[in-house]
Amino acid sequence: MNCRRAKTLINDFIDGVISDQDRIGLEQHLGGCSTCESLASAMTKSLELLHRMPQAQPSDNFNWKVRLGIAKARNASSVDAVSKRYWLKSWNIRFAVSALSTFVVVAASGYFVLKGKVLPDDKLTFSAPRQVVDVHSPVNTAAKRQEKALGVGAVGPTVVSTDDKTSPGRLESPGLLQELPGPTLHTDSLTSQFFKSQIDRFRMGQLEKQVEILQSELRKCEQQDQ
Amino acid sequence: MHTDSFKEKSKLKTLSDEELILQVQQGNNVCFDILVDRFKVRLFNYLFRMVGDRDEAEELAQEALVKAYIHADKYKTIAKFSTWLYTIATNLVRNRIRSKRRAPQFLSLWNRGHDADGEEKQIDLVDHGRQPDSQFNDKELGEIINGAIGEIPEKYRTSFVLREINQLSYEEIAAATGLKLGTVRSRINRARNHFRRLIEPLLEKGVDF
Repeated sequence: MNCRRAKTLINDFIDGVISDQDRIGLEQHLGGCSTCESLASAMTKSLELLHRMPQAQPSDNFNWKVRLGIAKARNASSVDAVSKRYWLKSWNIRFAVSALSTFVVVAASGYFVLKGKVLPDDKLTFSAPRQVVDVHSPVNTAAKRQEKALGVGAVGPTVVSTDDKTSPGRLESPGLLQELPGPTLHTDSLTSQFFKSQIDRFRMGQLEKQVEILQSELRKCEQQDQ
Repeated sequence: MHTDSFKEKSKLKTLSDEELILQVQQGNNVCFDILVDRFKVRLFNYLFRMVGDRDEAEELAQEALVKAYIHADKYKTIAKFSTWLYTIATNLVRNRIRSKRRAPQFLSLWNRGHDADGEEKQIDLVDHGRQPDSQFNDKELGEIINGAIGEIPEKYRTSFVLREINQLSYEEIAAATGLKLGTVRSRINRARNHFRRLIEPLLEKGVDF
């Protein structure tokens, strides 16, 4: 038996799990090897010393502290459970409110969309009169001149005429006309009438103002020409 | 009335640990008191040797028992109650040691380090004036032993203490620590050698405990 094997068997011997054959072999080895013999002796004595050590005793109120700990833990767990239930409840309420509001919004949107599609076009659709701009008309030229004088860019229509075919200087040539898209309103007849009247008033007001300005410009031009 | 209660408790005391914890699962708190009485010293000693501080060990022991009570319903009869309880305690002490991440609070009897051969340095007693033939009382002996145990690396110390202090079998230690049987055996052997190297110079000087 070599020393390495002997060292392993020393632990087995201490644990009491060594076989008779190994024990005899170990005893023979220890008899002839002072290093292993002293190692085995020191190991046995050090562990004997450890086993001789008196057991430490916990404090007298140990059991009471354990009971107190259990009571605290129970209390904490019940508080946790209550707070968890409350959180769950409040979360449910929040979810219900948000779900209801979403439903209302979606339903209202759907209602208006469907309503707009179902009703007949002749009663609902109102197309505002298209705005026709004649850029080469004398009036427009004068207006452009006015814009230039005022330092205004291409913001807003220079001259706007409606489809009433009575506006002066209107040319039928499509290449010289720029069509401005007019608003297309889909609404019921009463509302359309209201909008129509408002838009007409607005447009008329714009025209009147523009016409006044242009007429004064035109007069100036005519005076200069003379 | 008291006599009946006493008789009932005496009868319960004859039950095994596993039978008692099953009673606890059914709401019998008296059975848990009996379990506390049975395990408090063993558990306290294990934790005391692991952390080296009496108050901390007591706190951990109480925490382990409280956890055992609160989670009693999770105990299954496939394991011994003692193994289950030591598993709880081992996890607690492991977490505590890891969270502290600092030198253990043991009495410093030895200087850490290795000599030229890589061996552990010789024991250096704090009380250099003590004569070799002088006697150590129980308290001093306890401090020296605790100091030596505290010098054993934590991963070897757990198995060593469970084996040498709490007298658990290798199989029980493997179950409590979650290690393989071979690993437990190896760690205990290493810890024994470590402990022997620390205590050996005292034995050579002929110090009589």
